[in-house]
Amino acid sequence: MAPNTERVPSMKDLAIISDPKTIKVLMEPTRAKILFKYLVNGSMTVKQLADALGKNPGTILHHIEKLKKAGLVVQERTEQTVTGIVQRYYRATAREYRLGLSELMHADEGVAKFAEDRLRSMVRALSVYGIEIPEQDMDAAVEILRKLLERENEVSADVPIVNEEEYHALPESTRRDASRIVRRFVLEQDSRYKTLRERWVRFLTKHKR
Amino acid sequence: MSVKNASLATLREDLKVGFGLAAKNIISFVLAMVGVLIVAGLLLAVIVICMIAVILIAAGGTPGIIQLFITLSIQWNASAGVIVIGTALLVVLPVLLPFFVAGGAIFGMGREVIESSGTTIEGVFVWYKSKFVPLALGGIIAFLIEIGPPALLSLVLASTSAGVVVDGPLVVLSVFSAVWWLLTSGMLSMLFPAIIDGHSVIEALRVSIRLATKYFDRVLSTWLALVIMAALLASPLLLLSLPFGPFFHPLGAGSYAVLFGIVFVFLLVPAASITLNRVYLILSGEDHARREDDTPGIDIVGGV
Repeated sequence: MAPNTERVPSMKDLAIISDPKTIKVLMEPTRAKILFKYLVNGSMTVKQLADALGKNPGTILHHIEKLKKAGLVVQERTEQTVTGIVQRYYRATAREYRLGLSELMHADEGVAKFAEDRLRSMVRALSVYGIEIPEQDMDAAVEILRKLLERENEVSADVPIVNEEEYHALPESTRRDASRIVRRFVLEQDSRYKTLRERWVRFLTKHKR
Repeated sequence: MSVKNASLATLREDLKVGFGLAAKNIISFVLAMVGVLIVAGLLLAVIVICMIAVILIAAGGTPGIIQLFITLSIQWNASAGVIVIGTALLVVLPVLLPFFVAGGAIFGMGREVIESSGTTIEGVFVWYKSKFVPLALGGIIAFLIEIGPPALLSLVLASTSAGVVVDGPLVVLSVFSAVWWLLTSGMLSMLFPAIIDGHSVIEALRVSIRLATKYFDRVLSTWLALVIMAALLASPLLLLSLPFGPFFHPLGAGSYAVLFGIVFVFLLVPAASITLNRVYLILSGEDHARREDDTPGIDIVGGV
């Protein structure tokens, strides 16, 4: 019998999560851990995940199913052990995930609040680096940052790969490095991003102690 | 990746792994089976109470029910058996429903075992709850496909021979029913594993038929081996129960029935669920080789 040669979708460098339903899937801590702590770094089996997280395999299987349905995880390969166990390896669909802010901020109350809170806490956290944003400037800071991040996501996500074969042949670390260089490059070429970036830098400079 | 085609060696390996893991996890399976059967029984009681209440209201009390059964028997005599069978199915399917889900939940445990070599008792209840609707629908569809055509044929034959099927037609009916059941149940043997794998009922139906068609020898030989095992296990019971047979022994039959029940429910069914899940995982798995360079590397670039 001819083997099934369908290719598993390649792992994206960056994926933007903008569907509120997907965010809700990730609001469950075990699922978030499975994806962001383990499966973005490589493929793992249900047993390996169960051992790493101290959960039973059934629970992990249910979480994997939800992540698969949300398009965050794919089944990579199936292998048999010497004891006859058949293990499926799962991995994330991207190496890095970011939230699509504008969609989230227009989503239902819970998700919109989550996105708003994340932005505000990010801005407040700048104080540890000596950048104090007063409360009256908070809305302006959140607005500039939101636009900047949105543009960055828009431009740097899904940078087209012109040679899939060669891309797959590259070692993992080389792929990551090349991806960073290209993503930075496409951002530097985008005038709207540059304008927003300059505005943000000016804003931060103004509030630096 | 594993060999997908059938051979005696792969069949032996599938069954050996299935029975070995079922035996290793027998305590979990026994307790889970007992628990899930209790839940199914309770659910059945609720369904029966609801059905009786609906029939009582619809028929207008006990006299109405008596009248309903009289009408049904007249319709049977008038060879309108399809209506009678249809009505019977309306009663039978809800009654079987909790047990379809129970069987499906055992497949969930089987999946856990074949992917990680272990399972937990509570796992079965999680599968029962989380996959209730797809497993129930899958069970109903499989039941209708496997039983429907033989039931219809028996109606046709009965209507042409004054309601009693004997001699030649009986042989035709028996052979057709056996072949049809073996073939369709084999083709649908990947249905529950596919539902457990996260497919919807219709998708799972397609997957099961696709795998059984593409790997006909592997799927059907596994299913046939399990059916033969069950038949061999049941054969002494049949011999001991035949009133005019040379081995007729009512007490022996009763004792063996208990033994058969225990082995069937606590070993054969779990082993079948593990074996079929294993075959499903192998046949639906990808053939991609592991990347040789999948080793951690050190990044050089920051924000160039």
